[in-house]
Amino acid sequence: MRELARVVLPGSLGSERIDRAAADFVVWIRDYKVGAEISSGYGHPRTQLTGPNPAARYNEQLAALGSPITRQAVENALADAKIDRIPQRPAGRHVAADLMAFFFNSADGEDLLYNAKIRRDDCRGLADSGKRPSKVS
Amino acid sequence: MPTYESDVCIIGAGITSAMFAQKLSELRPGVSINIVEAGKSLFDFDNRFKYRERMIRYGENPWPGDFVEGQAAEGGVSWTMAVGGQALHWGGTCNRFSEEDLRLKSMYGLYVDWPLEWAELEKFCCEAERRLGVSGEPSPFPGDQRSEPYPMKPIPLTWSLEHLKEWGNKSGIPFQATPQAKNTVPYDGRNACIRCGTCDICPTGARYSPDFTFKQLIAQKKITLHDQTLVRKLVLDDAKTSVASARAMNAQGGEVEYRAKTFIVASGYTWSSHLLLLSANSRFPNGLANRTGQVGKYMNGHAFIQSFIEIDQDILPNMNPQYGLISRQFFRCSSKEPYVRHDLRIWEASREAPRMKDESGQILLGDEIVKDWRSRSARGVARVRAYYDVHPAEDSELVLDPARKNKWGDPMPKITHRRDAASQARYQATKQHIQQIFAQMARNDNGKILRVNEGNYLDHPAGGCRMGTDPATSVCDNFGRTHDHENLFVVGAPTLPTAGCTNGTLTFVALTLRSAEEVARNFRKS
Repeated sequence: MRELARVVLPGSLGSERIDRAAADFVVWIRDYKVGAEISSGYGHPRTQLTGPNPAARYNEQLAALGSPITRQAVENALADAKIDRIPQRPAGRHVAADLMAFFFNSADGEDLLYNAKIRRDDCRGLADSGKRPSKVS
Repeated sequence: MPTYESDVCIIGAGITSAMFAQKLSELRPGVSINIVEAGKSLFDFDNRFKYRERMIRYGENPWPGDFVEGQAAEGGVSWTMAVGGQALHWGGTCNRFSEEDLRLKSMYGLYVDWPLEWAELEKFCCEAERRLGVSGEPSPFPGDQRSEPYPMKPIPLTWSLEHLKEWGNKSGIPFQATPQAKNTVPYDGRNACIRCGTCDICPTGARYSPDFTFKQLIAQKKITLHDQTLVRKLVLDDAKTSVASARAMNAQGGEVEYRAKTFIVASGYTWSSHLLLLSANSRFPNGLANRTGQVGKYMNGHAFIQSFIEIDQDILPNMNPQYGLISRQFFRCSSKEPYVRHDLRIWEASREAPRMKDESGQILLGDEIVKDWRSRSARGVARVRAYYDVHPAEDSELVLDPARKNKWGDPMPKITHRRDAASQARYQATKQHIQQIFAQMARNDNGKILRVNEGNYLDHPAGGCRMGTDPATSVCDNFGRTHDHENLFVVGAPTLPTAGCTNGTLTFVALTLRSAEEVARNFRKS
């Protein structure tokens, strides 16, 4: 997963943060619960449960990418899987797309895009809310 | 069959039930109160951070088990059924209605007037704000004058909201912080907000939810709560029109009876009408409190139009995502002009999503995605929404749907919202008016309207047991006392004749507190 992350995640994060993102993704997969209740929502409520673990084919897909994993191998795999956008959440179609989904939809991913330490998943207190968050880089 | 007796039996354990029970127990400490709720008690405050974490990472329900299998309304906006009700999830917004909402007929010749004066309601709005713990700032409009200050100062605006306010005000439309049932300082035994950004489940308890009130009342032995117990029918006295008992099924499938001097239906806009209709008998063949066929009628809510506007402002998302701005400028409309009343709200919004393929079809990876996104998403985005006032037709209704039954064989409710002829007739003009405001706002800071969409449901729904003075056109009086049964009250959202043009929780809590005072009068102080 670390090798894949170094191809699909932004190199500007630096190797340590890329490795951490890859490790976080592995933990996310490990702690995923199949059939967990999702909020029925508001407006047009419906019963929803989490689907199968998206990681079911990751090992096979990682193996198919070969080693070392190249950009070309990832591009070919995404094309074969007919994936042309980053999913909102890991959806199990391909590990490369799901790793990107995991990162770019995370608080770290958001902070990188906006170049601002928004830290949306933290409880940040009210005192500094009027200040612009500091830059990531 | 087990029978439980009390002075007052409250059916439902949402926010109205919590407020009603709290106030009644203060006014009449000796009055015994049973509260019966179909859903579970989710009193798991210590694990809220854990639930929040699962919601963030996996999208899991932060209130697992907050529904009753098979107990769902078609056309309802939420399936939440638990101790605390929809106010477990709510964002805590506590906007007030305005006097115009109560004077539609006399001021504009539309629909009906509410059967009480604004000054009377305003007094109870203040009390509701105290009990819920509302932080807010006063409106700049004289018509919004308050008789008491907010209990707490407003939540500070975020960096993004400060800039959005500056932008909004450039249109000549004054915006202010929306009042929130969220603590800016420790209040009523609950913590201050620390801006976790997940108000759907507030891990610190800074945002009010009724479970706090119920836990207090239980600890003080002021109520007895029977959860996972579904009331299926209200039964009348043999010789009178008063209600004698409520028949329910508990979690084990056993029948239970609740007997009381006074019954309070506090089951929200869906289940209140539903229970009354289910309680039909030979003397009231169309359901209780329904001699004139008004139960389930005039179901209401407000419509909304929303736009996303890109502007030259440094707007960052998720600084405090469920907090926003409101303008009350359009709560009032001259009776000489075409009728259109609405609120106007602004929230910070995310810019567009990153992509992995550019226009030429080239796959983007890593820093290419970041670079591409930054080149396309340099400007801030505002989400602007107007909730506008629409009035229900009589057949805007909740009915029993024989095609959908729960496991006990009870038909489930089906809600169909229909607007009255006047609301339909002014629809295009209303839409045009609101879109012009969006355009007016977009003229500042080089704004560009990215998209506009209309809600396909009525939000903040209410009605079904409309209050009024005439039994021919209403279900209950302005205290919620049903016209047909002297000891049966309906409280909260179902009693609202209209849903106004902004969030209704504060208003129906205020009405509930007023009802509690009335019910208390029926019991001696000692």
